[in-house]
Amino acid sequence: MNKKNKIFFYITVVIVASAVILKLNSKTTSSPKIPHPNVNQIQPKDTELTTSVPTKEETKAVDSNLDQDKVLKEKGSKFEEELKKFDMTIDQFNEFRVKLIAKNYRYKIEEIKLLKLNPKGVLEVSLKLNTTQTYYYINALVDKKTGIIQKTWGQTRYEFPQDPKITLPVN
Amino acid sequence: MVRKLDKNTMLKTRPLKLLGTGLVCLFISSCINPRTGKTGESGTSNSKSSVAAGYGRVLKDNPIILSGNASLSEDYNLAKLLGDQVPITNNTTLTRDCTGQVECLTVVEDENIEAFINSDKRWGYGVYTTEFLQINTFYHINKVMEKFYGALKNNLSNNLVVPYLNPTLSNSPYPTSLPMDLFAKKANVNPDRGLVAFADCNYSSNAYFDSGRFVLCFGYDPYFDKVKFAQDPTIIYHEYGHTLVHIMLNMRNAAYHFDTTPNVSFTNKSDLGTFSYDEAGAMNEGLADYFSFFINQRAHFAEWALGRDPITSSRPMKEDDSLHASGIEPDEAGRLSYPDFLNYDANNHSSKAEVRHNAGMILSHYLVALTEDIASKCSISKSTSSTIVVQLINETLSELGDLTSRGNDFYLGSNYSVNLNPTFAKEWFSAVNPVTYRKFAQTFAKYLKAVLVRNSVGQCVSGNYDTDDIETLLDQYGLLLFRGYNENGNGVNSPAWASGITTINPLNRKKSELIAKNLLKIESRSTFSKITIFDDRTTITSTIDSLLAQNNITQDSLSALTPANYGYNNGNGKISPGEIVGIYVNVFNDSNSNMGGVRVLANDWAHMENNKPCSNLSDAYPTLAQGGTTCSSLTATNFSNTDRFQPVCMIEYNNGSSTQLLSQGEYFTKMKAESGILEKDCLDPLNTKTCMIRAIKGASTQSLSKIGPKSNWLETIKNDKGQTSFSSGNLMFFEVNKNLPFGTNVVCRLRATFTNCDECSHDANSSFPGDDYKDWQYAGEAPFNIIDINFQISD
Repeated sequence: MNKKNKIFFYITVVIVASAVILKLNSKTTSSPKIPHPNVNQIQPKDTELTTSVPTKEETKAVDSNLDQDKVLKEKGSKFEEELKKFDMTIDQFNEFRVKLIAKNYRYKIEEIKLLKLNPKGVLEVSLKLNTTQTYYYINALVDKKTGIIQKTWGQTRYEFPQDPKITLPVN
Repeated sequence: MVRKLDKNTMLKTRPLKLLGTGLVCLFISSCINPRTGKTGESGTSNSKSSVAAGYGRVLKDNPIILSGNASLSEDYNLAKLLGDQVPITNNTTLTRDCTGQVECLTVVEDENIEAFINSDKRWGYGVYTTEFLQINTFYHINKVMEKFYGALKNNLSNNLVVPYLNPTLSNSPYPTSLPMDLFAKKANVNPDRGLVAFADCNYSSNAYFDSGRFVLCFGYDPYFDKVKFAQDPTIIYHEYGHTLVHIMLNMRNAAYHFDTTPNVSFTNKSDLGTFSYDEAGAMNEGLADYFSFFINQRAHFAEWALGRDPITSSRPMKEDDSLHASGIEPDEAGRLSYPDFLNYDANNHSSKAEVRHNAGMILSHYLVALTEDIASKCSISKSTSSTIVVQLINETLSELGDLTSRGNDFYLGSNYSVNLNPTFAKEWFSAVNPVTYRKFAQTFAKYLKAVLVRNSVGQCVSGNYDTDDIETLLDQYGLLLFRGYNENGNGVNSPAWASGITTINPLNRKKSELIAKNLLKIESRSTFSKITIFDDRTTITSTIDSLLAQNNITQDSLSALTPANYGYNNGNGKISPGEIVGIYVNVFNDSNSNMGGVRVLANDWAHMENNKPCSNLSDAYPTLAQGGTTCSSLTATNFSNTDRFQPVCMIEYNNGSSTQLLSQGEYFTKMKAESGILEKDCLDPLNTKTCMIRAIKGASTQSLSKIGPKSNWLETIKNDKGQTSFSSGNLMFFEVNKNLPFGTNVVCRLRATFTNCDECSHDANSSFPGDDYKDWQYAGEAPFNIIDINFQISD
């Protein structure tokens, strides 16, 4: 190989290597996020289970027993399997969810995540709450049978708090 | 606004080094050596093949610092800033264990996404991949963990801190607040679950720590696609700093939980600050900023993630930073002092807004200055000095957050030292005697003295640190707001190891001002109203939603009589039956100095006896003829008697011959006999003492950052257009029974205090001059000014 060809070779190696590397690293942060079906695996020590809160229509449907597991249907047997860790069936979970929302009507509950089954049928849950500003999360101890919140704790500490500003009254 | 970089913060050698590496790679085929990343115009390749198993590459500092270019474009190729490979983990996921907890840290892409599995354990990924963000986050959290827990273990193993020794013994270095066997008792972690960090969190313009779920979220800059918060290690240090603040604050609570109910959820926890502005929350931010300095010894935070328009919120931690306004200097006169700089925004010098991140800068600046002071006087490195400062923070938080109220494992029986007692601890911690700048500074100074100034085995190797040094620097920050170090605690009985207190040298107080309590008054000028009522339904709905979501109040804080849609709220600016109202009490600073941390409290307190309001308190109202009674002295044993400890609001009642001011319990008894009202008609059927009107628990404190001299808060805080915006923390909230008749007159006996107040903390009657009030005294009038407000129930 003459000198000219040698330089060409090295440049080609670099370009090909770069292309391979670029290909390997082609997954970018903007690629779509694919949720793993079993969030429990995030924390094997603590069983977690998440479900979206049904819309008003869905709640109504659950209330009237028209389609009790409508919002859970897509979760399938895996969800059912996970619920066993909390000593619950899908029907019981639906009932719990409806009670939790109904009994704690002042909270704008967006999502319920089961975290831990405590003695005496008390569940630790994480509640995603929606306000007009942003989402917040609190934890709560909830009676599994009644859906009544016994205690809440936790706070979300944002870098930029979005506390609502209150305007002066007219009078 | 772009910050100018100090010469010493620029990484001058980096571009040359990268250029050199790039040139070498062009001509030497060994650039594909697995141990060396290929560097060129496109930056370091950072492929899997370029790193060894267990290793990867990260951004070792934020890109602004790595590049040495304060104006670094958001489009700059960050691959050019990657350094040599560094150890990441030998696990196949980004997880690690801690003493006492398996998987105490897991880093994932985002919520509900499983940790990615990397079978070959080579952590080389392109700098714009989500995997890279996770690796970067893992590396930097790990870095803080190693330093923090390493130092803690070192202190314990070298007997610099000895929780298992009775502090009265001569070989006890000092009375520590750290619990015995803290690692074995999982007090070093959140015992319920490990921390999960969402490194590529789908959250715009923000990052957060959530103490309930125990997660971190690092979002993205919506204005610049490539900018992610997890690219900036200082953001990671700050947010993980919040995690450590939470852990330190709850070390004693976690140890107690382990000893008593280890198998149930850990719920009896403290959080430093509420969501709205308060000093505890401000200090939480200042401490979190300091954790960035703790790791990199650089007194500026978040240049890359927050430093460019339009976010422009990076924060300095030292007075010589070019972001600061002129006149701010790292000397005696130019420090960022309390309370003058509480509302100072380094990015917007004309702003007066109450922002806890800005108010926290007083603490971060003090801690950095202290670190440098210790390093200089004790002849140690800044890194070692910052480790001592973190030890002091740990001691301070562990004591102040203690809901068991002991403060030390050898304080037994019915002896309590902090937060009154376990029954009242949460209320005292969050509202009655909360963590203020004064309380933090005093407790911190106590440990600073114990750790550095001790004669025999203090950690200042030169022995050149004394109480004058402590007091002088605190004073430069306006924080020498205490007269004594309070070694004897705030309990009824002093501990065996500290029967008295060490007083400060008053000559050291040059800048810190202690203002007389009675100079905080209710506004009396005719151009201002004494109170302002907020009762608009939309406002109240969104505010209650926020208070619930921020865990300030619970559903049980509100009565079932109050409709879910707050339908009685009519927005007429008056208090009507069935409403939830926010009340702003217009207090006035009659002194010639700034008052900081002004709080007006509407929680229950001991202002009655035999269910009748005391007539012999400083407000002298009501008189005996108006229904008052002469109360006997408040003591450590009677302060919480149910006939004394009463809600603040009382109701006027005309018995036909005179008008009297009745407790609500008495008013209920009269109404039951006269109008047939029943317990079920009360706001709480089980408590007739709050039958008609009550302050909402958890939202009963009005918190104001500061009030200027001879001004009220509205004048102090208004913007250039003369406008004032309120947040929920600036108001106290009340719930009114729909059954309370129109025309009823209500009097609420509130208490007011402020942080740089002399008699709000110092007990002039103590046998130790300069000593603080005992916690039980905060149930009465002594540390407060009484502020009576009255209003008529309107239609």
